Amino acid sequence: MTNSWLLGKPTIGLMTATYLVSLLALSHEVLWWVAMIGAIAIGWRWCYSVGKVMVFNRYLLSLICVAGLALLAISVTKSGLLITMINLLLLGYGLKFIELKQRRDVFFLVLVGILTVGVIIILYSDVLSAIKILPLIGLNIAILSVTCAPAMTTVQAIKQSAQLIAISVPLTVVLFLLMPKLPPLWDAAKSQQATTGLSDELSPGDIAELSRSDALAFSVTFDPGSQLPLRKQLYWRALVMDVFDGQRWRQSMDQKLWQQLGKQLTPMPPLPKTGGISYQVITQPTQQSWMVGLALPINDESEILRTPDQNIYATSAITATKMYRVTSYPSLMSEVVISDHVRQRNLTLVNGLNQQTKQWAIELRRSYPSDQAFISAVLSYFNQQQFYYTLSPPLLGENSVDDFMFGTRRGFCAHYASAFTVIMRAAGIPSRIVAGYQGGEWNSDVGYLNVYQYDAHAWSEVWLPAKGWVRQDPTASVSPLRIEQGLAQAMATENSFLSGSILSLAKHQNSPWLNNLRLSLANLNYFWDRWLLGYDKKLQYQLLNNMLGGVTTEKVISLTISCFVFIGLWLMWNAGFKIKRLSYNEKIDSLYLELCDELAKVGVRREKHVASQDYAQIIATRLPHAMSEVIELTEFYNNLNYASNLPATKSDYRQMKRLIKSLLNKI
Amino acid sequence: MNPLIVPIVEQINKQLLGKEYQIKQALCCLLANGHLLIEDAPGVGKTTLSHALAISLGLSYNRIQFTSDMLPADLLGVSIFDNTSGQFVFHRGPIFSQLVLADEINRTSPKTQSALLEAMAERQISIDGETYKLSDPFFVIATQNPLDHSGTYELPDSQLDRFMMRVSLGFPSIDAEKRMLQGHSIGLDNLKQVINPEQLKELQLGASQVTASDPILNYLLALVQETRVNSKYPHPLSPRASQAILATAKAWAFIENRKYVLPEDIQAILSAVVEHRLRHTNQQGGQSLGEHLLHSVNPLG
Repeated sequence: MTNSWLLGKPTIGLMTATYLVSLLALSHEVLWWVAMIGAIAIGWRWCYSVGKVMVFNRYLLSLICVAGLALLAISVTKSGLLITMINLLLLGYGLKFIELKQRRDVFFLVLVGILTVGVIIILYSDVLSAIKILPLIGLNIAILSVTCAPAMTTVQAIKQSAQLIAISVPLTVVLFLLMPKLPPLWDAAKSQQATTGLSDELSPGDIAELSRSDALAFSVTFDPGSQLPLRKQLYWRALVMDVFDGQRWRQSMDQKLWQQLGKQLTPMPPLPKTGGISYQVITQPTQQSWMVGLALPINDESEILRTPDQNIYATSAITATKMYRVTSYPSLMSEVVISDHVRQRNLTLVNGLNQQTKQWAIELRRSYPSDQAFISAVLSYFNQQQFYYTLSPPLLGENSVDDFMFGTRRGFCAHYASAFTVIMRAAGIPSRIVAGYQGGEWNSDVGYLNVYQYDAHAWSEVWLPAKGWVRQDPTASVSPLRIEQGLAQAMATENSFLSGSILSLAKHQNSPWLNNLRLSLANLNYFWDRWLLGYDKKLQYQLLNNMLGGVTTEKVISLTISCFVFIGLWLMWNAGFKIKRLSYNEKIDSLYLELCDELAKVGVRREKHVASQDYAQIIATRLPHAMSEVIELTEFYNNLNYASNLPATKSDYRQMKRLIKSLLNKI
Repeated sequence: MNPLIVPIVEQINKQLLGKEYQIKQALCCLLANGHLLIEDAPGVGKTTLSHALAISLGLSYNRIQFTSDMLPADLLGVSIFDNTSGQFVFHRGPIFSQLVLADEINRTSPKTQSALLEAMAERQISIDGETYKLSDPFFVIATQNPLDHSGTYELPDSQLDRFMMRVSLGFPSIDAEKRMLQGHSIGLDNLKQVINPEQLKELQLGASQVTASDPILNYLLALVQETRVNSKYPHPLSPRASQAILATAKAWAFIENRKYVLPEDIQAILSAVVEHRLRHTNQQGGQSLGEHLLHSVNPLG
């Protein structure tokens, strides 16, 4: 191999490191066999660089490519288009290691590396991914440095790329703050991969699944004026489910139709003057449209709708971290009226299922004719009988509620909410299940509330005349700790909290320094989301407004243009471009050359190599009548140019002009 | 022309008719304190020119006819055992003079050539552990026949580089040759010393004090750079070559009685200074590499 620069182990080392970091950053997306092919390619490259193996067989390479494409095509159905495309990119990235033959190939590899960085940015927007991106960019630049300047050592190249990144920081800040935020030109493909979070349907196992995840669901900052609700009041409503098929709860057809067809505005109820709780929610991407809010959230942004079942709903799925403001009026819940149709739906139970429970409810109802008394009786039943709150309940049969009520008696929120709602419906009280989150972790240092996936919760709402929809949480009767102190405390004895994830920091809330570390990371994440990802058009508008004193189109356009001009000049300056004023010597030179052009028109051409003295002689022989002027001019020019080491002055320039003029007049 | 130089040129010109330009070039080389190589066919006056220069400048000179059986000792000198003192005594060779006329340098073996060229570079010789300084001023004017003549040893690149200039005399014009045949040229015996070595030193000093302005240096560098970036030139010019160009251009300007260098001065000596460094002598189209170089760089602007 003649291209010895490619054989350099440092270069290959840098490339390998870049590839591995990329894989690591995309480890959730990458298919195992794609990583395998990459490893084979890199392994071959290493062996080749030390001379252990021969050139890779071209046909074998094509075969691997075709096989890889076929495998990807198969996996499209399973993992979705986006993930497949990412894997296609990574497959090409890995196979490129075999094809490093020319310098161009290295550039291509770096380009793919940068593209991978872009993919990481599209997929993840959290702090940790951002931290992974920096070294990736640095490594890619270092590869370029080592390739273009082979004399550079790896350490020097890495240092240089760090410098380059450091230099680009101010530029980045200016672009981030001031460049107009354009809407995306195309939609990022929705990831089909299951992100942890609530879904449209709820079966008793779902919440238990969620409680294994310590991922952040959303963060909340309450407005300074608002009264901070108690922890046990923090029921973050997300979805209302009022159709039960004996196993699963799902949203009603009305709600689905509303989502698909109408999305017409639910009429705004008259807002009470007091009692509103205002807060800001920064939600992590859910790939869904529902949004969380405390009871009866009101939001007047155009891209957030109010659903008929008293929730809020985004006009498009939340694919990126999003910030929105909500004001909640708990008292409005009591003013909700329901139509007969809705009332009927909230009383419906599947015939023939859970007969034992229905019987039990009807009998109990006889002793408690008042709705309120009946509810209290059911709740105290849950409280007094041997019900256990556990994250690992036994499986239930076809009559799931019967099995639970009179058999296992072990379950968590979804079981209790489901059973409670069925009992209510059997007793003639309209009721439904609400899925969402309960509680959260209050950070008093910074003043925000973090709600994690393990805070996911399900509870019931019953409709009482004059009181409207009233929240009833049977879980609170079974395990008050869950509501008042959170899942971690409730599960302390069972030791099942986050039992799946050994490394989770949230698990070690009893170890002070680990907990501190976790809280600091949470703070960092919060600030990241709040100030970086949350910096949207609105905030930018405010900033511009403050800067410019009133935003007008002209001002924004001129600011944008001046930004571009500034950045362009700055880049030019850095690239070594400097505006240089012509010295008088240079001006006189160009005057002389212009004269040569003039004389060429009258037939006295100056050959390229002829200098002034010889040229003067040529002119003198061809144009004898102008001889004295030519000699005077040439003498002056030679004196200025060659005799004196002093720079020419303005008067010299004028003199030269005068001499040229008199010569031209003569001919 | 510089009044101090005029009589020298005139006298030599009387002997070597119609070769004023070459005479000035040769003088220019000596004023720049460089060694001179005269190359041409036999019988055009190489030796005559070198003799005339030596006599006119009043330098002590030795003429060495290089032959194929010559040894370095024949040139440098030899240590001989002296019976009376019982010691080896060094007998100085012909190189110990102010001007050495090395006739037909390419006839001798490379070994002897090397001995001469080493002495030229260092201006001293070492024999038997003793170092002997050569006289000051020390010039070598070497002549050589074109290389396609049989029985010659081509000078290697590194040694050609030691000569500041290579001058070709060429055949005289018909007029000049006729006058020569008519007996108008004066003989070697009629040559007189025009200046003494001290005056020569002053002239050298004067030549070195000629100023070269920035545009001149730029032009010089553009010329040198052209040979380095253009693949047409197989042997790019070295920094020593650019020093030689500058020194000789200054000397030429001094001969032209100017205190500063003009592009024309560089052009006047360029071919003589660079041709033997660029090596390629026979070019297609009749234009030598030196001429080609001169025509491809713009001295202005």
